[in-house]
Amino acid sequence: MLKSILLNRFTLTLGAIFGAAVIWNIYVAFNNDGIVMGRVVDQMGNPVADASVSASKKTLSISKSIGLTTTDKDGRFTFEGLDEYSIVLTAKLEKRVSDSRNIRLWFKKQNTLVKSAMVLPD
Amino acid sequence: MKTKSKFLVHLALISISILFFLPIYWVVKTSVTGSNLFAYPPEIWPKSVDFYYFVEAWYTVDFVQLFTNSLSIAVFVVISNLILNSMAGYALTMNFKGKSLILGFLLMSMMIPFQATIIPAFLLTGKLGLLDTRLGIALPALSHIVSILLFKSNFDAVPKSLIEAARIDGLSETRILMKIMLPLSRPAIATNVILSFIWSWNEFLWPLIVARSQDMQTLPLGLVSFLSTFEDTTGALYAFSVMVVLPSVIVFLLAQKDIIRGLTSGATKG
Repeated sequence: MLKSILLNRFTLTLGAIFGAAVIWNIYVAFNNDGIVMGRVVDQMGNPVADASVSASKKTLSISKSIGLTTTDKDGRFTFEGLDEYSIVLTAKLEKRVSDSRNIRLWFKKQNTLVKSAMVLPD
Repeated sequence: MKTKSKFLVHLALISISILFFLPIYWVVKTSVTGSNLFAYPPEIWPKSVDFYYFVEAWYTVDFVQLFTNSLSIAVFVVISNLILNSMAGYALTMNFKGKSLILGFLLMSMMIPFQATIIPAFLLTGKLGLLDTRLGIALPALSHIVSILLFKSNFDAVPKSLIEAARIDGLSETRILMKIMLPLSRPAIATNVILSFIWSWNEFLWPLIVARSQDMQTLPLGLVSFLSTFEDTTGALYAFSVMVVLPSVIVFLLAQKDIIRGLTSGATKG
């Protein structure tokens, strides 16, 4: 009887959905520190130090600044604790401003590494 | 000739199925492409798929709260329907004075649309102090006359000799219902569960009237709030629609065999 309950289509389907939800929540729990890392380079591909990188929250309804950091000597920057699922990054150095980079996350506070570097024009 | 006519019948059935399936396909396709509904020429096949609209829909409204409300109300409605409808259906299999009057009254009540009784229902719910509560939202759906009659027709198919034998053995009417009638009426139970779940899940008008605070809103109300707040968000809107409809579709697909069996069993007395 236990076998018939376990192999019942309701049990299998709802069990699979529940299992997928548990696995997803475990993945989220291990990856939700709100860390966003990236790199800023110039048009030649050289790292740009001391550029300020701003993070803005961008949703269907609003756009609001949520963080500001500076690149290190290797042009790398890190944000921590960003509690959003859609972030716009912009790099600035003096009068040079990069294109805005829209980062779309699968869940709030997802840790992510911006794959391609942000380019500051000359 | 027989093969040819079979082919034509199947061709007609497939064409009609495609026609009925097309709106569902369009909603799902738009939820992953975000393409404009009025674009010309229309994009039949998705060129690029983007599941991010589901993330936008999830976070734009409090989907978890809406889902929890809808689910808790639906579960309560299903359980109460099972208990109340089975008891009423069993009572209607007995012969008692005024039975035909009660049956006629139930059938006549089915002809009155719910919208015509909304004002007295609202006043009653208010007097009971159940406005803006989950119980208040579930109250009109605690029993459905269609499901009562469904149970009745299934119970009528159970041999009377079985019930008499159970009475002779000393079983009470409640135990006869639980130990004999319900186990023999699994299709009716399945149909009752699925129909009451789907009706409760998709209910819009009554929750709109009873739910005053955002915490009490159900998924259909959340969908309308989403639509009224964000008009030009086709992808996210359709993604939200898919998320609202998905649970009832899954429940129906899992139990469609039982629904058909439940609706047709008892139609012929063996």
